This record gives sequence, structure tokens and C-alpha cells, in this order.
Amino acid sequence: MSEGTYRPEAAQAALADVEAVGGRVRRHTRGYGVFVLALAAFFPLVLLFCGFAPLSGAVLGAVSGVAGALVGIGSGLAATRIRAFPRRYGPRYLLAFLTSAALYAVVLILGGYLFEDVAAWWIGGAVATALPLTVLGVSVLRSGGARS
Amino acid sequence: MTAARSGGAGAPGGHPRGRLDDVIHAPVRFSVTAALAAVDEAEFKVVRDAVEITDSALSKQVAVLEEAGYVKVRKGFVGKRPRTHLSLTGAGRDAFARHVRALRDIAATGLPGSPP
Repeated sequence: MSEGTYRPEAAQAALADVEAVGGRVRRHTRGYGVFVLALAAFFPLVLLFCGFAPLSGAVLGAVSGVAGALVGIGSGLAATRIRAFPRRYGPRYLLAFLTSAALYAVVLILGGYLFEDVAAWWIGGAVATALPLTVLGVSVLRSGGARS
Repeated sequence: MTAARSGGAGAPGGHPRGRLDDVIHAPVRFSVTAALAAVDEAEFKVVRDAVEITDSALSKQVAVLEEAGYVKVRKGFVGKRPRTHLSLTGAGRDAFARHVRALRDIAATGLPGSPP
């Protein structure tokens, strides 16, 4: 190693490089943030459709199944196109997705049995369902432009 | 292969240069490691553009880091197009964190009032 590396100025320059290079790579995680936000919007749209459309339980179940398949396909496609994944994206995504999915199921099932004609239930449920993934997506987009 | 590779004794009270990692210390490899430390995984081309080197230069540095157990290379295809993704291993993240701490300690020695 060169003696110059032991100088405080060289160390400071190296640390500045960490910030600069890290920031350039983190910008590429924004695609992931956009994908998560799109997913966050998808859940409530399907829920509102299920809540306000006069459909039978079997049809609603089928709609949910198709929606789930679309999410799976979309996730697979997104994974091939996203160029950089944020730190700990796996556990964070899993937590947000499962929370949204659980809220979706609860709102759908309870709504179907108890609050079928209560608009506030479906609208409030849609908002709640969107929250976990929205928080994750916004967090990723903000850190994509933030310093480490 | 995953043991810390320090340039010196690194004994308590010694100069922080003893805690600098030999593998990461080279400027380009340091930049590559810094790029990967910021994310979980990144495409080869993203790292190349961020570090501003050529494909062959990055490949050489990645090979050294992979040999040291610091970087994992994942190759796949998107349709017919090959894609290579890079990520730091646990050992790589630990080594990078230690290296950065040593750099911060060295940088701190230049602050007014710091011991030489």
C-alpha cells in the first residue's frame, strides 16, 4: 500500500468516493420502487372492484385469483428488468406484501359477509391495503436519491 | 479465504492502517466494493458505469474479489440476453465495513486536536 493512503486527506477522499459511487448505484433501485408503488395501487383497485361490483362470492374469488396470478407474473417480469435491488429488499418486500395481502383478505372476507353495502368499509379497506407497499415504495424511491 | 486480510498488526492502540483490507484497498476494487455495499445486488453494467471502468477491467477486479470470497456472481438470461448480477457476500460486507471504519479513523487523525 502506498504511504499516501495513510494520509487523512486520502482517507477522506476514499470515503467521499464511497458516498458518490453508492449514490450512483442506488439510483438504479428506483425501478424497484416504481414497481412496488404500482403493486400498492393494484391491491386497492382490485378490492374496490370486488366491493362495488355486484358479483357472487365465487366470481370474486376467481377475480382475486386472477389478480394474484397477475401479481406473480408482474413480479417475475419486474425482477428481470430491475437493475439493482435495494439493501434487504427481500425481507422488506415480503413483509409489506404479506401485510397488504392479509389486509386484502380480511377486508374482502369481512366485507363480503358483514359490510357488503358499506362503501366506507371498501374505501377504507382499499386505503389500508395500499399502505404497506406504498410506504416501502416511497422509502425505496427516497433512498434511491439519498446519500448513504 | 474469508478471513480478514489486514495490511498490518492492527493491534489495539496501533495505527488504523493496520486494519485496512489488502484486497479492498486497491482503488478500483474499493470503488467496486463500495458500489455493491450500497445495494443488495446490482447488474454488472450498473457497477461498471458507476465505477467508470471498462467491462474487462471490472471482470478482472470482480475475479479477485470473488477469489477472496467477498463477491458473489450470479449469471442468468433475460430472454436470450445474458445478465450478470453482482453482490457482496457476508464476508465482503464485513471486510468493507472494517475497511471503512479504518479509513474514518485515519481521516480523524487529520482533524485539529487529534493525536498523530
